[in-house]
Amino acid sequence: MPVEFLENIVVIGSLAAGYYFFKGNSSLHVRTKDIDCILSPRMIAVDAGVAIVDRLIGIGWRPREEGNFGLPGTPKTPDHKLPAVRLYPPNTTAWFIELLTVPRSEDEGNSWTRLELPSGHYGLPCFRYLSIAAHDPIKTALGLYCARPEMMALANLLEHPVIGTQTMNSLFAGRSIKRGNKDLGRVLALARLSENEIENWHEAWHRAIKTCFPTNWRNLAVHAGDGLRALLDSREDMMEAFITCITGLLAYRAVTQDQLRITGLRLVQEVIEPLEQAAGRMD
Amino acid sequence: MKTKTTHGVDAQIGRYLVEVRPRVQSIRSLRDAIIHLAYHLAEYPSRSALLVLPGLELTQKRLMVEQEKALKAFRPEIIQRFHLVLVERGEYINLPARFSSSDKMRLDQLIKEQTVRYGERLPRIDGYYVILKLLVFQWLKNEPPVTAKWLSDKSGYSYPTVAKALTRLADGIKKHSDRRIELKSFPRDEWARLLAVSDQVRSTTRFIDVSGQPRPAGALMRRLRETGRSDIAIGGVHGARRYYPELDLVGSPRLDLIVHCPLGAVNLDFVNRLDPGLARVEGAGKPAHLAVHVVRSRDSFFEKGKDDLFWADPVECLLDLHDERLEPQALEFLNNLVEHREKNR
Repeated sequence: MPVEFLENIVVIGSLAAGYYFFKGNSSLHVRTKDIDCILSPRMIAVDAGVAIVDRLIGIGWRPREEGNFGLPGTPKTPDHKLPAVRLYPPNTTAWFIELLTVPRSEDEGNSWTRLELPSGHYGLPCFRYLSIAAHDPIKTALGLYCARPEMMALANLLEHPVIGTQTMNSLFAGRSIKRGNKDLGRVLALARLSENEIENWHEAWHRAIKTCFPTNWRNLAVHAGDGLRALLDSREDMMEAFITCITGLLAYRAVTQDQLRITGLRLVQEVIEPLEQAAGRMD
Repeated sequence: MKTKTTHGVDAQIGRYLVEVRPRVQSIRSLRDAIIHLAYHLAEYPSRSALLVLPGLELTQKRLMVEQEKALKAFRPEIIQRFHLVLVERGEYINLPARFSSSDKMRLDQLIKEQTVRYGERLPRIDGYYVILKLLVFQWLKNEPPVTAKWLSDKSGYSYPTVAKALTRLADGIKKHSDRRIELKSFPRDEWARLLAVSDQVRSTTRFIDVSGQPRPAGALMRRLRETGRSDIAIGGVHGARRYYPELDLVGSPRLDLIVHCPLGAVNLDFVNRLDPGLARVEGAGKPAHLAVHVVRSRDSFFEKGKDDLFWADPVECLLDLHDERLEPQALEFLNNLVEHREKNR
């Protein structure tokens, strides 16, 4: 990675979770194919994106072009049809990095920003709640940052106030899984791995949501737990979430579906309810 | 189905329309009750109303905020006739001064009925043991001798029950010329009998963690404090250490909670609010992360600590140590209490 932009890279997803929870234990591993990197703040995202892609392609990284992932675009390609930056390292297709960025403001929804490179045009996707995921990240010894578990959890909760019908492209343990269940399952896995640390999540969430959404935070906060509550109330959705956990971050933990549900109930009581109350929700 | 009076409230006592809502946990329920009574006050301009909230599970702060809102929302002539009454540790707070003692007895009975409706009725127990605990408490605390009336008031049992208990304790009782009484010494034989029936007398319920990640007792205590409940106190090892910090015990003991149930009913739903990972476990000898005991006397003798938690008296703590099979610690604690008593004589 270009040294001058290391400070602007926040790794999110299972690799960031693995860094946080497993870094002291060489017997534990994270199995992942995509390394999601947020470029933040937004004002440097284009410069950073161009420099990173230039550098990596220059040393032999290759764009992921198979399947649904298209070739780089041209000046005529509309922004929303540009391929995201997904680069394989030299000599392997076992994993790739993907670049993302944060919104310009609290009102910006999902969008694409054009990266113009000599090798073609790419899109830098921006999702509304990535600003939360990238909030107050942890600096690694390598100079770049990893997202905090509690921030990834909050971003996922905000992303899924309801469990939609969209399913994941790949199967989990041979099953088709709803995206909402996979992402909310990730929330449960992060909470489970955090054990008693979740006692401190409420204050961190409160600070983050007020910082990232200074005018909208109350409305977001009062609905932050809606999707998780729906998950906990549905045996079927909970089963899907459980499968993603035991084939992912909780693969090394002996945990049952009922125990994972208790983790969710505790999260609601200890973190979500205080956040809702701080936002003015009174039930 | 709840039976209402012709005025659509739980009861009419004197000129008051009375609605009792035990263990209100949410602002929504509180608002419902306030609005319900306000409607009736508008309909009956000659009446006043009491909203009685025994075992309120909201904090004082939230209650005050809601009260302020109600003051602004309703007409003054409604507010002037509206009384929000709390019941804490058997005492009424904000009961109108003109409420007569016979009206108060009717209110006592109404609360009892409504609380039972909202909770699990406890089995009848021998009042002797409630009175014995009071006498042991007085003795350990080196308090002055007491009258039979005092015992009746504090225990909630009738004078005949107190008299019967004192007859049973005859050899261990010292009677003063002014008819006050006290224990001559620590009643070891009667204490041993109490220990044998302690599970029934205190309606002990045990809970174990089923989450695979037990919450430490400190986290449960923090959540208990957040509930603002004054009718639940900490006993057991944690409570005993408040009186005797040097209590010799390594490791993290279970948490013992004492619930004040002078009305003969208990609602253990609060355990789920402390931790949804706790499940009931049957059997006295089974390992547990939490044990909940009931204290039946009218006065709980709970003390509020600087930490805003309520703490059980040393007698309950001592019983908890025995219940947890911590016999050496129970003996050590008792010896310390007796030593402390002797020093303060």
